[in-house]
Parts: sequence; structure tokens; C-alpha cells
Amino acid sequence: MIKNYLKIAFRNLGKRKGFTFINVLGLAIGIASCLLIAAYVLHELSYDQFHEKSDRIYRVTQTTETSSKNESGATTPFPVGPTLQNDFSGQIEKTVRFFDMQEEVRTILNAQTEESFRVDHFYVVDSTFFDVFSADLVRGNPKTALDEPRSAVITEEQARRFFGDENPIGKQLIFKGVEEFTVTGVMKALPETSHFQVDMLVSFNSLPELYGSREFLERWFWNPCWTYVLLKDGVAPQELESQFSGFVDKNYADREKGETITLSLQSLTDIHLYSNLDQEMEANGSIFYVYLFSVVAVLILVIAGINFMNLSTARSTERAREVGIRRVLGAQRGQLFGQFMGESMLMTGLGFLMALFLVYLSLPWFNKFLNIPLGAEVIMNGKVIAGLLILFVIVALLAGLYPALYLSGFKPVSIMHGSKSTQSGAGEKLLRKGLVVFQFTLSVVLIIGTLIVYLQLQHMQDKKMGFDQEQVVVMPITQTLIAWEFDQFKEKALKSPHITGVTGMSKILGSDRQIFSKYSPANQPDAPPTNMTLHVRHDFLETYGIELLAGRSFSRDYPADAENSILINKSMLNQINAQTPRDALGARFYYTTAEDERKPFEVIGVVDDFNYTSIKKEISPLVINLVKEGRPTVRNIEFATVKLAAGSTQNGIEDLRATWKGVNHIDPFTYFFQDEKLKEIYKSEAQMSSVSGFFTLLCILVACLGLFGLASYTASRRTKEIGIRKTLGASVPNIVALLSKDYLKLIVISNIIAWPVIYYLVVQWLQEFPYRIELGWNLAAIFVTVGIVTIGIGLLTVSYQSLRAALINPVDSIQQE
Amino acid sequence: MIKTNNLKKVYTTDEVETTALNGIDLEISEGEFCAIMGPSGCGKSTLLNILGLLDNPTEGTYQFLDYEVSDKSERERARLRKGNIGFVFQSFNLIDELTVFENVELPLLYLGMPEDERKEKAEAAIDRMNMIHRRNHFPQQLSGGQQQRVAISRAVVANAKLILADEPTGNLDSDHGDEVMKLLAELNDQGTTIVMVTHSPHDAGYAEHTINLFDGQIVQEEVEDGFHV
Repeated sequence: MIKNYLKIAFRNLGKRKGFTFINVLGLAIGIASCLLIAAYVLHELSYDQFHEKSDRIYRVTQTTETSSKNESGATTPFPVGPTLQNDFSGQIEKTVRFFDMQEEVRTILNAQTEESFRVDHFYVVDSTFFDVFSADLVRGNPKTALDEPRSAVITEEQARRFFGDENPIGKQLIFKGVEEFTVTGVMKALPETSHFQVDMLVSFNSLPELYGSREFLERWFWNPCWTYVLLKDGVAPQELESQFSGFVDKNYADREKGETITLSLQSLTDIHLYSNLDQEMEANGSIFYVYLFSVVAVLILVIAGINFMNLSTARSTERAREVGIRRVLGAQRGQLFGQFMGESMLMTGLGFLMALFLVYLSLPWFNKFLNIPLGAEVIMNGKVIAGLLILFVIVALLAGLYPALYLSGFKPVSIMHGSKSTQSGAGEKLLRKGLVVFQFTLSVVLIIGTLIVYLQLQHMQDKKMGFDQEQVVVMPITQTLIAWEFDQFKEKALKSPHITGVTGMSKILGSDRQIFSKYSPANQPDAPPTNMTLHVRHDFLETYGIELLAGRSFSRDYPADAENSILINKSMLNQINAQTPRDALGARFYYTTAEDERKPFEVIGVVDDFNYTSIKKEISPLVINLVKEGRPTVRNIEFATVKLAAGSTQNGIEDLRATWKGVNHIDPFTYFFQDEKLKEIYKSEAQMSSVSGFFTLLCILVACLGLFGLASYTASRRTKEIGIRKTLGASVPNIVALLSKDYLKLIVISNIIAWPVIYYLVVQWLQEFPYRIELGWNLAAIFVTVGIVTIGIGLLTVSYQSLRAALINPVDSIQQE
Repeated sequence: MIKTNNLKKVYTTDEVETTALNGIDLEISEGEFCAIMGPSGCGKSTLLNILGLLDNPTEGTYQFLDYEVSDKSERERARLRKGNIGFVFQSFNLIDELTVFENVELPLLYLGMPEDERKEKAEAAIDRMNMIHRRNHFPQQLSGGQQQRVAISRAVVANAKLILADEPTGNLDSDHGDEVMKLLAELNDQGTTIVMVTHSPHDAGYAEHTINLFDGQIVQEEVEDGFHV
């Protein structure tokens, strides 16, 4: 019997090749998209799970609140780790601190060959690192590798870079040109699913030597350390957290008046998706995209499933005669039910096979796009396979159940004689239309949603930066000769006709990093004691094209600028109660030095707001101060910025390289373009929006495939009617209009239903952004445009079939019945 | 074999009630060849459906093989149909996706017969209709007469005691029609009861028992040796 079913199922599929192909392909695209997204989601969810003790590892985070600012940081002061360990030894097994020397780029020299390399992921860590985290040491002893001062553990990849095939243990590496480290261990690179990456680890007790002092290690003011605690078995994090307020009161004695500090614990495995604090080690992922993609995956699957169901049930009415014959010949209802379910399973099975093939084909491309190494193993695990099987049964059941129940319930007599039941009933038609509306509503929601996400991300990247990004080259110069010989470098560089400006600053504009200094407005006792600060060299505003609203810029004509003058941004006006930029000129700020001296500074200029930190954050009040050549604080200037003349990028870079070599023959010339760096910083956003855009396109494609199938079905069902209408004088356009009208109506309805839904969702989502696109006429324009586009696509899809039907010779179409 | 008493069938649609059969009293014995005649819409096909257990009457009784079936459920009727009744239709009603052999085999499949036996019986039935050389063809590859011969093979394959034929020659030219009628007569000679609905007096000539229907009532009944009204 089964053989007979299979035979007839295959022959049926083969008889309608086009239909079968559309139906199976739509389902396959839906499942393949779903699988790809599932792979991505599983990858995101797997972050930091590889650490054996991941369920007991927590990061200590610190929130600092004052009346006017609220800084939630991933970092804590140096003493937090050891003091916690000491105070709560009953609950804490181990603590580890990470410190990155607060430099964005590091150059390491091979002592033997004097070759230098840039190292991106460099951390000073406690010797407990290997006790807490699961990192494999290939060479060296994990118990002792980081015990001694000036010990370094490097990854296999870095070992190859530095030393080739030689055994790196015991070899010397030089940091900052003078500090020597001995390689004591070689570790395997951490998996890609780690929220921090490591190229080189250096022992924590090297720090006093590196800084020539222990004093800063005792300070509770500066918070540059990522601190992790490993809880003892069975200790709940809340248990420890509840004692933190006492801990803060006891230890943060030198915190400012009115400043509230809160310490919290953050689960290691939550960091990648849920943490978006200041000073994250690396850009994290976002649960938003996990949700977004999951929703898209489900929607695509639903749309594909609906297609599959719709086309299968539409086709099934053609099988009424067969059902009738089988019933007359003695088939039981159950047997017919089994037959149709079997066919549905076969189709679904084909869809799944094709989906797996599509995934196989597209996975490398998908990986490249997302820059994550997803392999077959992500999908081929027990859970996913079980999920696939469940999905298979659900799809097969949903697609097969309706036709199976419907057809097997036919009374034989009515099929054999009355033609009534071979026509789709009114209820069934309504259901089919309802499903089409539902699909297109989902598609429209997705299209508009993706468009708005895209526009918002564009908006964040383009509009509000407030400084020039094009033709701007940035060079990391910390601890290089350039930093010390800055003016010489600048003078030589400006001799090139391709270079129009040179300046220096403490951080990459637009990057997440924040620097606070103790500048507080005079006569404002309530104002916060610290403010965000940008240290710059001369010509900063000019090089970056930042607009001056009042006063003047730093100038060599005023040699004392570095000693007594600052610039502020527009957002600072509020804090000093100034109505206009002009009012703020001459306002006084006090800078509190490390020795607790108060030095007065005067506001000489007010600049327009620009995004010096992440565009995801609101612009806060800013102090810009000038760093004088040769001052000990020269390490505040980490980057040199050069503006190239328009159209001479290549020559400009060559001149810059020559100038660099002329001044600094030790450090390699490294540079990047400001706009590219920003793109890189916001790469994940851009990537995500293009990926969701891609899946949206797939969604529309799948929905259109369904529409195409349905239209061809309708056209074939109405062949006789078309023939009669044509013999009665209907023209081809009349027929096309007749057949297309119904579907267009459905698409219009879908659009109208989608509008309030998407409006609600978009308004909710945009709440999260301080700088968001205005929703007004542009939204209405998007709505109408998407409406027109979907109607256009729908019309194209349907009219092909309609036109084909309309062009058939009427005699043929009448005889066909 | 067939005995009806005051059989009525009323179709009710939204507003209209149509009486298709109005008090049919009928008796057909085993081994008879019976023709039901009458103009379009007189109720011939409705009667055939009820006799074939495809449908229930609205009123009256129907005994099939001495068994009251007028109030039986579709499931019950299906069980009785299987193996007892074979159908031959004007439009052949072969399944396009199955070959000649598979079409003929189908009733045996639903009877749950083992494969060897099915093969043997189906091939015998096809052979009987002289279609064995076409056993692997699909219906579209055959002429109308050939298709009807396949349909008759299918009707007899399970050794049905009763064959119901609904205008079996209606879609055939006269040569092929005659051929089909001869086959039916031959079956009848071998003991199969045949009830046939037809328009054609020529075809009705093969029958020994003729019933004329008009407006759902028997207006004339003729048995080989005389008339009764």
C-alpha cells in the first residue's frame, strides 16, 4: 500500500514539475534561512560557555552616579579584586584582574631580531588567570607562568609571528622600546566565542616596575581594571552582591561628595549579549539582534509554511476525482488520510533536503559576511537535529492535514457526479486569502522594519558626528618618538603639499573610550567634580573641521593656553548656567591635580557638539584642553591626526610615511583612516543591518513564490471562464485585470494592516537611541513607497500567469474542461 | 439480490427541494442483466448511486443481498461495496497517475490482498479484456474503448457479484461501444449481475430486464417475457 502511495506521490510531483519546484523551493528557502539564522543565534548564545567554570565566573561592574552623570563601567579600581578576595574569602575562590595599559595599540619588539609587531589584544593579568579561565597552555606551566614579574604568555599565532618555528620559551620581547619580558608560556588562541581575545598576557606584578611606583595600585579613584571573581561552589551571586554596599562604604573613602558608587556582579555568559557598558573589552554582540534574527527566522518559516499549505490545499482540489474513484473502489477514510499525509511528508522531506543543500552552499558566504566561523557542527548537533525533526513533523502535518482531512472526507457520490465539492468552498477561499494577507503583512512589516533599522544606523553614522572624517588619517603614536618630537613631525609633514593639517589627541573620535579629568566649574558647588576630557594638540578644531560657536581656538599666539585655557562644548553650557555660547566665554573651571592643588582655567571658546564617544550615547559636557609639548603628560596624546588634501590620498600617505621615517626610524609606520576606523567600530551594526536586509529580501521572495504559485493555480482553474469571456469579447488587458485584481486587493489590505503594527514597533525600538530619525512625513513616504513596491512586485508576479492564461486561444481553454 | 421498497431521494438545497426518486419498488435477482432507461434528469444516476451503496435514500428500504442497507453509515456501506460491487462509468474514471495494471490492482489493494495474489488476479482480469499487452501503459495512452475495457477489468477483478454501469458506451463510438456491450453480456453469461443505466435502446437490447424512469418514478418495466406497468 505504502508503495502505491509513494508511487502516486512521486508521479503527482513529477506531473506538476513547476508547481512542485515552486512549492519545494519556497519551503527550502524558508528552512535554509531558518537554519542559517539558528546557526548564528546558537553561536551568539554560546559565548564564554567553553570555560569549564563559566557558571561560577562573574565580572564586577561599577556604576558611578552623581546628580548630573551616570557612568556604568565594566571596569573597577585596582584594589577591588584583592580586597574582595580578602574580605569574602568564604564566598570567593579566586579573582583575576585584566589591565590593558589603557592604550589602544601596542608595538612589541623581538629582542633578537629587532623586528616590531603590532599586538591588538594585550592584557596585564593576575597569575590566577589560568585557574579561573579555561585556556590551554601548549608550552609552560599554567600554575607558574604568570607568577614572576616580566613574564609573558603569548598565543601560538603570535609565537609564530615573533619567533617563527623556534621554541619561544625563555625568549625576550620588548614593550615600549625598553621594557623586557620573558616568554614563559604559549597558549592556544581562545575560541572565537569569547568576549575577550588574547594575543599576549603579561604578569600583573610587572606593573610596579613598569610604572616605577606601587602607589597607583592602591588607589580607589581610578578604575581601569576588568575584575572577575570565581565564586565557590554553591555560592549565589546575590549573596555576595548584597554585601557590596558595605564594601563600597568601607573602601571607597576618597570618592567625591555626592557620588554614589554601586558594584554589581555580571554573569560571564551574559556579557557578550547583555552587556553594553562603558569600557567593554571588545565590542559585544547584542541580544537585540538575536531576537531580531530569531523573529525574522520564524517569520520566514511561517511565510514559507503558509505557502506550502496554501499551494498544497489549492492543488488538492484537483485530486477530488482521484479521491472519489478510490473511495468507490473501497478506500477507507483512514487510508486516504494516510496517502495525503504521506505525500505531504514526501514534499516536506524534499524541501528539507533541498534546504540542507542550500545551507551547505551558502554557509561559507554567510560566514564571510558575518565574519564568524560557523561550521556544519553548529547545525549538526543533537538539539538542532531534534529541532529539525520536530519542525519537519509540524510542517508536514500543517501542510498535509488540511488537504488530507478535507479530501478524505469527500462523499464518493458527490465527487463522482456533483462538481460542487471539487470547487474550492467559500470558507476555503477566505482562508487562502487570509493567509496571503497574513504573509504579505509580515513581509511589509519586515521590509519597513529593515528599512528603518537601516536608516537609523545610517543616521547615526552620517549625520551627527560633527567632525570631518574624510581624508583624515590617524596614527597611533603612544610611546613612540613621534609623541616626543611632535612639533618636528608636524612641521615636516606640513611641508608636503598633500597634507593640510596635523594635530594630536588622546583618543579616537567616535570610539567608545572615555577619559574623565577633574575639571569642575567654579562657583557651581553642585556640579560634578569630574568631566569628560579630550586632550589635544594645536590645530585640533581646524584639522577636524569642528565648528567654533564663540571665542577662539587654542593658538600659538597665546603661549599660556596649555596652562590656563580650555574649550568646552555646547552641552557644557547647561552645567555652567550659560544661555548662549558667548555667555560662557571667560567662565572659570578648576582643575584638581594629583597633589590636590586647584588650578584655575578659563573658557576661551565654545565648540559645537560633536560625537567624541560612541554615537549610541548622548553627547555629554566636554572639556578640551591643550597638551603642551614636552610635558610629562605627553602620554595623553595617543594619536596624531593628519588631514590630507582632497584627491591626493596616495601621495599624502607616501609623504606621511617619509616624514614618519625621517623623525622616527624605530617604530613601524602604522595608520588608518578615520572614516574606516569608525566603520570598523560600527561594523557589527552595519553588518547586522545588511544581514537582516538580506533575510528580508528572502522573505519577500518566498512570499512572492507563494503568490506566483497561487496565481498560476487560479489562472488554471479559471481557464474555461477565461475562454468564455474571450469568446464574448473580453480583451487581453480585461482578462489580466480580472485575474490580478483580487490579489492586488489582498496586498493593499496587507499594507494597511502592517502600518500600525510597524509604527508601534519602530517607535518602541527608536526609544533606545539618543539620536534617532524623525518619524513624520518620511515614515509616511516609506509606507507609501513600500506599498507601491509590494503592489508592483505582486502585480509582476501575478500578471505573468494572468497574461499567459489570457493569451491562450479561447477554443483550447474551453475544451480543456 | 436487490430489493427496494418505496425508495425516495430528495435533494435539498438552500431554497429548492428536488425529488429525484419518488417511490421506487424494484427487484433484481442474481444473474440478471438489467437496463435502466429514461430521459436526462429522470433520476437514473441517483438510483444507480443508491443501488451501488454510494448514497443513502431519504426514505424507503433497500435490501442488498438480503441485508437492509438503507440506513447504514458510509463506513458500513464501504465495507459492503468492497468485493461485492464493481463500477463502470461513462467517463471511465481511471486514475491518470497509475498504469493499467495499477488501476486494476487498486480494489484488491484496498481489500488487503497479498501481492502475489493481487498480481495474478489483476493480470487475469486484464487478460480477460484482451488488454494484457497494454498493462504498463497509462490511461492517456489508450483509446476510449481500451480505457473502458480497463475500467471493466477493474470492476470484475475482485469477483464482484454486481456490476453497476453508468452509460458505459456514452463516450465511445459505435464499434467500441458494441465491443464493451459484448464484454458486459459475456460477464453476465458467466453469472455476474449487471445493472446498467443507458440512453441507448440498442444497448438496452442486451438486457433481459428494462426499467423506464420518468420524473423519479418507474413508468414502465419490461422483463424478457412480458410487460408490466
